[in-house]
Amino acid sequence: MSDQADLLPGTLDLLILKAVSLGEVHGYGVLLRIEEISGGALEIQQGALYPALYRLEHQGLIESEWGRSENNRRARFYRLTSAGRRRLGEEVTSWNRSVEAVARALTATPREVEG
Amino acid sequence: MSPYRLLARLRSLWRGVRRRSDVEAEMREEFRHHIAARTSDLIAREGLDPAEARRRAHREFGHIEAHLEDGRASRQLHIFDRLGFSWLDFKLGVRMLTRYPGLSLVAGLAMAFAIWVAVGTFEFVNQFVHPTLPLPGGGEVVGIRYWDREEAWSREPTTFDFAVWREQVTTVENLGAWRVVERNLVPPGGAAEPAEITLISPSAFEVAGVEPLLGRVLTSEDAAPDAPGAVVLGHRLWQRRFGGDRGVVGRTVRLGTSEATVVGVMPAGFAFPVSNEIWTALPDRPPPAEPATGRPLRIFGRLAPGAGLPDARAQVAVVTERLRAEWPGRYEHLGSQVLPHAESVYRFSLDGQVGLALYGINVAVALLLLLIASDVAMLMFARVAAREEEILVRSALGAGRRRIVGQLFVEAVILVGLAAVVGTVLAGRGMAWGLEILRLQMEASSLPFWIDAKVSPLTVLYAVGLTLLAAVLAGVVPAWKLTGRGMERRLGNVGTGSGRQHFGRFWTTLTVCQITLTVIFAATAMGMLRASESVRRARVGIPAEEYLGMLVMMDEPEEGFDATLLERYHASVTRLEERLLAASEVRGVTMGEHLPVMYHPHAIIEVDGGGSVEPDPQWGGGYRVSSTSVAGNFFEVFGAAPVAGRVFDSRDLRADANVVVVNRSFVEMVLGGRSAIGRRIRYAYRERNQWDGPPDPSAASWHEIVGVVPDLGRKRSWRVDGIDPKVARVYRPLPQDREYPLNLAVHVPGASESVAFRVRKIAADVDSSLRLHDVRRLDEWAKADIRFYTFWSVLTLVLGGVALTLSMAGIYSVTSFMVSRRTREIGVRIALGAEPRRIVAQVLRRPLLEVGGGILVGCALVALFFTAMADAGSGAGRAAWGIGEILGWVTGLGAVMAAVCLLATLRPVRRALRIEPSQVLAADG
Repeated sequence: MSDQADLLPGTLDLLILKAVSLGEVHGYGVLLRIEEISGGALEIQQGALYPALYRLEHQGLIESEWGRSENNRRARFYRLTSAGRRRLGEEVTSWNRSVEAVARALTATPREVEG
Repeated sequence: MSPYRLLARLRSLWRGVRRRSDVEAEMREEFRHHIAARTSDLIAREGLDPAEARRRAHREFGHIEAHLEDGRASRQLHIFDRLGFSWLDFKLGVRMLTRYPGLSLVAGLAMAFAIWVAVGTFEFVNQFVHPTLPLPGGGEVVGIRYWDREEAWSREPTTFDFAVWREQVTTVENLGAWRVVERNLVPPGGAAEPAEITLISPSAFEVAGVEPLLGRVLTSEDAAPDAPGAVVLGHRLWQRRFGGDRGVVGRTVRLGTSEATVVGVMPAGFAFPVSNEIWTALPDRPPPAEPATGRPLRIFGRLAPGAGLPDARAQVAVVTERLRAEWPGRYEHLGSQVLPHAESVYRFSLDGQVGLALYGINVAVALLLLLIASDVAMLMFARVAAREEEILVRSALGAGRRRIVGQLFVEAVILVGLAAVVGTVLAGRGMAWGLEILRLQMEASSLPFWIDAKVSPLTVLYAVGLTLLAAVLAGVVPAWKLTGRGMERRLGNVGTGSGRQHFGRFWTTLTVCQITLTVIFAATAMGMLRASESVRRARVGIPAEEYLGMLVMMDEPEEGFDATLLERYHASVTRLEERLLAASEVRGVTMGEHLPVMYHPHAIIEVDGGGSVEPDPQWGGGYRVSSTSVAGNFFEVFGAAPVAGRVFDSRDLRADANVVVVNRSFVEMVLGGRSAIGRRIRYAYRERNQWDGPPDPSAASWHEIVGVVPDLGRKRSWRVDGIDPKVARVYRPLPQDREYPLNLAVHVPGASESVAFRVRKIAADVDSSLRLHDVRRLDEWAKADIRFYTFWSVLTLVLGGVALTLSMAGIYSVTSFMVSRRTREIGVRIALGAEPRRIVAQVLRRPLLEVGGGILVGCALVALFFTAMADAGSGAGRAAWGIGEILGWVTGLGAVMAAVCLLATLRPVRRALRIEPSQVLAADG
């Protein structure tokens, strides 16, 4: 079995917001950062990244600017807007709540059901 | 969505539409950067050779075009792609609008006007039919009432029903009741002025959920039967009657005959339950034992938490069913209704035809909009037709019909959209004007508090719908017509300059209709202005500015108006008269059912032995006159000495006196100028006003004419021509102990506000339950009429102006178009020696025919209308609008319209005359 986890639907936007929140980064950098912060457990499909970035930018959650990358190439850098920061906070809270609930459900014992 | 995020979306959309290629180029560059970075990574991390690394990076990235497509979809730009619109269409649209600025301005302003009217009307009707209460949780405030199924009308519950509901209904909380009584309100040191006092359950303030501005609201302690009087003031009343004094709380005011302490002032805009502005507690007395004995009330409450309208309806229905079982007589035809509060205050039901009829107003206004849109379509068509060659060539080069129609639609959307923005922004302002006029017309601030000059999101949506509809009519229809059948055939003619598209019967009809409308509007405006002028100049036969008029009423006790009260009323009025006469500046006091400048009811009379003027068969062989009863000193106080016979004296007050006095116009219009003294008249029918006492027992007796007086006052009327200069009037002696209420006239030269104030004080001293309404100088009655007529004349002039401008813009476009289409033909005719006169006649034939037709139809309708009006009125009405006069102004109007029409066609005609045959033929060859 592979060490890599499947990305749950709807989590790509959350991961991108998180990656961008850690500092200004270009598109490819977002990909690398997600792999890095997930300890290589999450791998993003490269083509799916850009539509998601454009969607978040269209929604005013991130904004972009052209600049120079580490190897001196022209690249578009993304950063979080204040609306994006708020949304990230809300999403993280909601995610944690869901994870906790699912974890609790999965560790339930027969005794708890009978009780 | 926050404004920031909305702005971000709009910016992203704008950029995507405006700079499609730039956006695409940037995406491609970003993808290239991604693939290059990945390639470098693969070389560095996995040691792949560059070619292999690049191949893998490409493979991993996937299909670039598909990602581009997804990228556009993420920015929601695919909608525009699918519709086939591009930025180019917008650019072309704006360019076309600026190329013909005059036409664009005319079309845009006309559309803005139409949308303004349509949006304002929709908002108003919507606020009326589907009101929303501007109160916290306003949707849960409800009203309970009965509905009489037999009469299809609401029936007010009584104190008995209120007590039953308060005890048994649990789905509606804070159930309260209210009713209005009219009483004098006397502020400390102020004069008594009538005010509508709302007796209301203190729970009203809890239901409304609004905090007072000053002091406190009413509480249940205030409703105890022995509690001292407490009153809460509305903001407007506080400003108006108390000068906005913040120290008013704790002061004592008089309400009719009792005293009350001001305990609070409500904030601006609060007028719960409807348009109320002074509240005092409805005494919480034990309910009567039987339903029929209670006073009628209006009931309100707030839905209990968790309960909805259906729950409340079901519960109240059960309670009503129980009442019906117990008192079948009273409740037989009654069904209970629980309605949203605002709907419950209307007497009728908005569900049925009334609501439909109200929405029908929108249809009528939308038709006006469509008429104007058709006009704009004509302008667009003329413009599009001028570009026919370009469109035919584009079509031949493969541009689909949809594409061409789409482009013209975008053009229309830009024009109508701009107009809609202007119209919708102005709609709020228009509503404010409309409401102000309504208030003036109703002479009170009695519009419900939820009707406000605002534009709701639903109305904005309606405006968007109208915009699209108008754009379809103005843009798509002309384009569809132009790109329709026969395109190939017309394509064959391109370059020959011969006529292709032409304006058919539809456009001619439209122009004729508009000219007709212009004539009608102009006639109405003229009539209104004339009316206002005649009111201004009317010789009322008295120095109206020297008289103060007022309607004297009396507080009605709980048990209703009876004979004892009528006696007290007349005693008080007599004392008031005496006290007023004692004042040094007062020259005289008199009274009557009506005063000279007021509306007088009509009567149909018969003349013993017949009148000398042919009676109008419309009145069953009788004469229609105005009739009123006046005090003995009426003519003396108004300085009208009899021209023949005598005026009333003490003899005439006997019930069997049966005498009348007539005015000069009566002698002229009924008796043909013959002697009136000693002639007898009889009332065949007398219009009575609602406060009249018992029916006049002498109605069928003959009355002898004992005197003739000069014409006094004028007849106020809603006729288009304002007032009749002459009115036949009959005066009866006033039986003082029978009539209620009376109008009092005080002759005070230089009458002013301070005199009015003193009169009020004297009245309050005489009897604090006497109420003086409409205390104002008699000349001010005319001012209200002048205001009314001036408003309508301005409105109709504006409408006429819009119709005229549109017609002229249409005529200009069509004529220009025709000249440009027939350039070759005209050139050939000039080359063949045609006289310029003939060329001009050819160009002008159509517009002149259209304008002439419109004027003829319009004038015929106006003449018909005025003839009907004159017939409906008295003989004097006919005299007011003589045929000569009508003809005179029809000719004048026709001349003005023809001149404007010639002006509109001036440029195209000059262009036609300047056509050089040599150039035309050279271009041909």
